[in-house]
Amino acid sequence: MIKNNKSVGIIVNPNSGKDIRRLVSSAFVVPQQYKSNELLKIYEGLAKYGVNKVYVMPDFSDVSRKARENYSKLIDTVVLKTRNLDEESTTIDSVKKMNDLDLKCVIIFGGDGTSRLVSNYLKDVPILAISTGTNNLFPENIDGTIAGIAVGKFLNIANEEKFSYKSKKLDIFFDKDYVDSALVDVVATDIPYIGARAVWNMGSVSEVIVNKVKPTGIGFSSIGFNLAKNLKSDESIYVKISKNKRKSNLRIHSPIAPGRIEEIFVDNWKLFKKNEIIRIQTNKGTLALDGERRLEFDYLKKPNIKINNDGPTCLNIKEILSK
Amino acid sequence: MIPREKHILMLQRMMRIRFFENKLIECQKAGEIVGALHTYTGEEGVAVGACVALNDDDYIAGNHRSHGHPIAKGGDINKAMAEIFGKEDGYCKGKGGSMHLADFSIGILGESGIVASSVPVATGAALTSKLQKKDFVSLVFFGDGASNQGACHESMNLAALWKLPVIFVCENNQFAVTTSYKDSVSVDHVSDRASAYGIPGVLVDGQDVVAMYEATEQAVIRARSGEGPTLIEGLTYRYEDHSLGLANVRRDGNYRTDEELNDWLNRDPIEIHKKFLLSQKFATKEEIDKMENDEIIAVDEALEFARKSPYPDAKQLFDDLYTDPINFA
Repeated sequence: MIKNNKSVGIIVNPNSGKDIRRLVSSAFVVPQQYKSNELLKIYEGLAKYGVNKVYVMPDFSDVSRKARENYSKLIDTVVLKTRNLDEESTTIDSVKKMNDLDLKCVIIFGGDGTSRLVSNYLKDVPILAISTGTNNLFPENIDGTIAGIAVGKFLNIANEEKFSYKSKKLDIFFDKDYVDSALVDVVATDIPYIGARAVWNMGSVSEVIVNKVKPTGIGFSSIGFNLAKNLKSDESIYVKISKNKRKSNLRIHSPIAPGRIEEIFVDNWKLFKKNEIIRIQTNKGTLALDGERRLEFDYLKKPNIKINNDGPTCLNIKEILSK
Repeated sequence: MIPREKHILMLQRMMRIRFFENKLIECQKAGEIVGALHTYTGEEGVAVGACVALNDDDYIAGNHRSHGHPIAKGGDINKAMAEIFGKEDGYCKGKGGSMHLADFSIGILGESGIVASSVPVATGAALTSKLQKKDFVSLVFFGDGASNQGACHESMNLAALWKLPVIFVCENNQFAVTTSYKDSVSVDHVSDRASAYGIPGVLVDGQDVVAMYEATEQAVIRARSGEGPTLIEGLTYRYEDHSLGLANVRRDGNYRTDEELNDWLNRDPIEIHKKFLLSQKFATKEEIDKMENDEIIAVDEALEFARKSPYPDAKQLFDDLYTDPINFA
């Protein structure tokens, strides 16, 4: 069925769905068996549409084993070789290798954080991100079977650019030096350390920048959705959180984590455009990118944030599945 | 937010454990200590992050690799060193040795060489807290190998059922003696097992003492508020063999590679925390150097204390074997 020998890459984050949010919210542990079964479903969809070559990231528990063994007659799976396992460097190494493989699509199995990491290193390959994490907004919440069908159909489409879209991201700079990007949100906290990474206490949050909103979104992006129901392709939202509840003009309720709806006191907020630079006002703390504390900063090293329309190219699964 | 003093304390206690263990290694190689020695170097971030998040009246229980646990809880290294030397001034009057460093006054219930046996002990302490309507929590350290033992599963089941204030901390150093946990644990991460008991399970970078502190702090809040137990898995690595010299026991060569060991040495919990303190300006390099020097001296003094302490009298051999709370004697 497939026209050429076209290949797919798969990145499964073995550590997604296991962080401290299981303790500080009602998030649940995502076991490896779930991920393994989802991969089986993806392979079913891929095989039905003639995909015959898959490259997967290695991991400690060999999460792809069941899928590649069950479909070995239809799909040749190559487990990439990397030095370490189950670390961020494993993902980065694998993505760098995938850049050299002429892949037509990379399937990301993880959360917002995994999607961010892969997108930071992947060059010009369309992605389909599927949620296995906690507060995910960027990945699709779809069954693996449907994801497999969507990718399989996409590989058979001639005018593929019509069935994908360029997403935007937020680039973070220290002074003028680019340091990182976020796909969904950037949160400035006054916690000076990265520690367990997640942010769960609104008391520590001083500024929120939201790049993507969804009515069904959970996490800091829900604050953005409370303020603007839609975002244009060149705009994002900046929100300054009030530390003084009495002086706050606007009070909203947002689901910042599974099972946690917080009362949020807004000092001010605005939509900002692609050419604007948002300067973080907080003097010292950490920036959380897509839900995880990643960057320490202080008044000597303050972050600036800009919209970048050259984010990852994502599969438009509704259009693909409707075709 | 973790106050600066606790960040400093965490570095100090990690250094104390490291120098204490390194001194013991020297002494054993010199033939000054008899018996097996299971050192904790490389895993300091797990014990210290967990223990500094506890109060003095909270309880901990350890395992066969437990020199680090009482030190992390604030134990007396003179008494610990004397105990390991089998001397009268040791924690158990020199009759317990390396695996028995108990100090009830600061919540150290002790350790045991029987794998996973401390897990029900800590669960029992948590039951005491609940039945007597006390506020203390208990925390138990066990390894990836122990996580497969029946006692471990039974304790977690009961603790979840009765919502006991206990925190299960799995120090996943990735090897049970020389068996990789890949070959012995049925799930990818020990923390995955929490869902089977209906309790939170959290995977933490055990080399990051701050991450361990944050996870434990939240587990303590949960335990004290009556919500029950938490399983925390600190992913870590031991620098030495299971017990000193064990690598030579294997006939099929090394069970781990130098490359792997070096990768973990490059993620040393003490060095990670030093860098953090410097970057946050919580301490200067001079202050850290002084702390390091002070800890080296403290360990040297503990060694001298142990050397000077007498051996227990043979007549005391059967003393202290049992408590006598209702005065049968």
